[in-house]
Amino acid sequence: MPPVDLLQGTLDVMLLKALSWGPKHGHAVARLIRDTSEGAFDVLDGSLYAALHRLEERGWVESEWGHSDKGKRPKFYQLTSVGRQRLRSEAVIWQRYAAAVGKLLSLTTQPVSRGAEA
Amino acid sequence: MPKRKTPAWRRYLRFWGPDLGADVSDEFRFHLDTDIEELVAGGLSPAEARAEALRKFGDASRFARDCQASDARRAARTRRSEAADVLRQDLRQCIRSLYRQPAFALIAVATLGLGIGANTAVFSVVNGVLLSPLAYRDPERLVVLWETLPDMPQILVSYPNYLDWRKRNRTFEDIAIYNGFESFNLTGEGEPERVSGGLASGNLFSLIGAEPALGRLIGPGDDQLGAEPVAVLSDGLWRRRLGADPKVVGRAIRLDGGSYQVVGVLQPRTRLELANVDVWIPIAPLANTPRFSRANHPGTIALGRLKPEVSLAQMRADLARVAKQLQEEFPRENAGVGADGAPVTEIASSGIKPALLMLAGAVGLVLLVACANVANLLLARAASRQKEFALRSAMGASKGRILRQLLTESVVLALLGGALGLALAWGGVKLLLALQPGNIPRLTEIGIDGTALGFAVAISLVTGIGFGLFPALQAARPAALAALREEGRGATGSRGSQRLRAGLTVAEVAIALILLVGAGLLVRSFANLTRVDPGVDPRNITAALIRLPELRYPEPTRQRALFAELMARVQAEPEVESAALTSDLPLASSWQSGASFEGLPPVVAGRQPLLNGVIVSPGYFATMVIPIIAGRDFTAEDREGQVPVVIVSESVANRFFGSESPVGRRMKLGPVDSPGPWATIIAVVGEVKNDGLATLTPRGSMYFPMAQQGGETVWVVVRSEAPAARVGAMFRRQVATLDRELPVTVLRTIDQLIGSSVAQPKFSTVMLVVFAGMALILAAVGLYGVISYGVSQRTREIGVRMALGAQRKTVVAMVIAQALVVTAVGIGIGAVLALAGGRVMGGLLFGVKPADPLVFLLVILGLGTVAILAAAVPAVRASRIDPCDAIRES
Repeated sequence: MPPVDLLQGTLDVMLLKALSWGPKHGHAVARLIRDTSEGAFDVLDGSLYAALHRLEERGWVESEWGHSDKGKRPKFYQLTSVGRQRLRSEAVIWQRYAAAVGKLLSLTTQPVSRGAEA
Repeated sequence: MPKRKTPAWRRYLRFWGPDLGADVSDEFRFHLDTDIEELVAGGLSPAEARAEALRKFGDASRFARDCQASDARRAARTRRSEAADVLRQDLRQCIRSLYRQPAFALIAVATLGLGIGANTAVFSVVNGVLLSPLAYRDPERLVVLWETLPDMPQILVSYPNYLDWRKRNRTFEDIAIYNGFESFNLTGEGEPERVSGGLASGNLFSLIGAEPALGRLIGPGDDQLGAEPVAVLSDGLWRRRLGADPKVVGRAIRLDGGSYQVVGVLQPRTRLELANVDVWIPIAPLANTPRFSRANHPGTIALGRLKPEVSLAQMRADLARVAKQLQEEFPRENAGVGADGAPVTEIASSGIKPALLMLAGAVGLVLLVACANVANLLLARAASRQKEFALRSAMGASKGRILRQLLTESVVLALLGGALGLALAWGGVKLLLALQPGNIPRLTEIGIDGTALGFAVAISLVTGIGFGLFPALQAARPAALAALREEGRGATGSRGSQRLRAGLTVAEVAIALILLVGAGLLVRSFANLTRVDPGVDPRNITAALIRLPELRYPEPTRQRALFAELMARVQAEPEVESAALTSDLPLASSWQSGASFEGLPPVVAGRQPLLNGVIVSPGYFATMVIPIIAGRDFTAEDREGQVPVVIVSESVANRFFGSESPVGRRMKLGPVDSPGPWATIIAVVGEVKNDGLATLTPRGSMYFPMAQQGGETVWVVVRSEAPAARVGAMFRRQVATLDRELPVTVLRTIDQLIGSSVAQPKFSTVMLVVFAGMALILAAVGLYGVISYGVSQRTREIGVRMALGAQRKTVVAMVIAQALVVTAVGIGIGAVLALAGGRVMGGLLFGVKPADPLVFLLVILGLGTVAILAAAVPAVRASRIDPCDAIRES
């Protein structure tokens, strides 16, 4: 199955989720998303950074320069409390959305319209 | 949490804000390096690993741009919110510290409120009168034109001369003419009413760019002999008399008995100089009446619009050329007649301009005193807060931060003062207008509007920073901030600030002196003005103006008959002591004419002396109590068909006949060879200030008997003990019995007339006295503050002196002497400045020199007294210092 392009909002919620277990630098975030999605979407690493900076601009994540064992300068991102709330509400919306799409796609017969009753 | 470690150079850079570009490329490099390492560990060659990592990353430069843009927006927002935080913190601190010292805050705000309020009030007057643009299209190119005579720099324009100017000039796009001094009897539909009228040439309204609110305005087609009579109404008359009827266009109104069709209504903002007109009608249909002949100047003003690029000098030359042609063509009527003009923008405010500029300057000085006072308060406060600042500085607050906090305080004070000032100004302008400043043009355009509001805010900010900067700099000096370390009382810092405070007080005293001298001069000048003998006894005189419409009273005989009948009836009233008729009231001469005397060396044509002409009935001199120095009053026998007679005033007799009596000699209007008849001088009467009270050398007057001159517009003057209102009612009743359609609208006493003639100087005087009083009080408060502060600083020294045997008296004298030194320096500086600047006042003064010694002496004595009073309280306090306490405490 070829990878699909991601909707912008989808990428944001995935980044928030990836950071929900604690501070991570960009490379770790990229690895986590690549590993869990098992190649389902095609995300350029660069666009992850653009999205992280955008989230930081909105105040959902904050960043801090760290230092890794090899003397390089990774930048660590972590959720702010606003970001955490955002993740919760986005996740609910996403799950509802996915469930609805899934339900529709798994239908085998056309459902009876209930609009008239309401 | 990862530990923060930034290279030294980055930290240095971060001082100027984050380096966004470097940050993003650091971040990307870390990602790519890590990726390459992992890929190499997974078995790829370094080159392959690098290519793969870059492929997975995508277009790095594009993503870097996106990241940097996000970062930059975030950084900007952080900076803004940090600045707002600092401001909020400063404000909170400021309010808390003002709250702790409410007396200080109240005094400062009240002082600034007074200063800003007075300035805003005066500004709104100046703005309304001098600054805001006139309601004309391109007023810069509009010029008011007049004629000149050798001894009269401005006379009104004769209509035929105007027509010739218009035809022959080369510098004007067009010239219009109007007369705003007419009046009509408006009859039909309710009470007859005298309305002010204007005559307009057909091009007037298009020349000034006036627009109709309804219908159309008078155009060239209306301004012709034989055209349908039309009228244009002012907004005021349309609302008042016609109930703002939107269908008024096409209706007919009756003016002086004639029918005119209303063709339009002017917009309310349309205004012409020297014209407060209710009804406009075209001028040309009246041009053939004798009043509009070439030798007459019937109240007409010409208004020209200059061609582009034409200078005033070119205009003058052009007018002079035309005037010269007309002198040659009409040697009799135009002898000596020149032409001149000035931009309407100058004319509009010329009368009141010097007084207003003087007041604006004065009120600015009041604000300076207020600022000096508040700066003084702040300096004292800063000195007492030195420890606080030293502590904050020790805790890491920068000098800039402390400076900013202090400036925030002063700006907050100034804005509070500005708010109070705005309220005061709002009330003040009402008060100003209630004072009836008299002859201030465009008075209705005055009010606290957006411009005045902006002005108040602007001067609040400027003064806030102005008076706050000095004390703030003083307090934030490194020496002052080190006070904590010194353990002492910070005495080194306070000496400089004490000197500064004394300097400010000197300035206050100097400014107060300047204002007091100005006020004193105006008061003396005003007193002189009111002491001027008008030449008549103004008490118990009521005057009413009657104008007979030409249509119903076309011949002089009918006019005279009606006036004679009215006189007889009025004089028969029991409460009337005496009554008479006159063409002009005292102080308000409206007719001047050249005159020649028989037997005297003839004067050059066009250079005859110009005298005020007044036409009066018998009994006028007795009614007005004008002494008859020689000869006899007019009698009923001095009528048409009899020998023409004239009475001259004392100054005319002295000027032309010296010690000889002029009685029996003859004179005539105009040059010796003019066609008018010779009139025999039958009497010399006392001089009346017919040119206005402030005239030092009266022009001189000649009086003609009404029965030989006639006239359809006449003042009736009645001397009666009864109140003016009762006399007025009686008068209206008598007029109504003679002619129900004759309106009598102008009723005033001569006292009122004199009062309104000095209204404008009175206004300036009252205002300047108020401002000077404000400055005096503020200066006294400032002096008091400095002296008390000085005393509190010297408690120990005074205690020691007293312990060493100094007497209380000596201490009091010492403190007062200190105050007097400050005052004397201020007085010296102020006196020099007042003497130097006195010329500015010259034009506003009457009968008093700018360097009037009495005024200076009184002001200096007064200031000295106030200084002693201001110093007395702290001096007494100093003398009560207990030496033991003072020495122990320190």
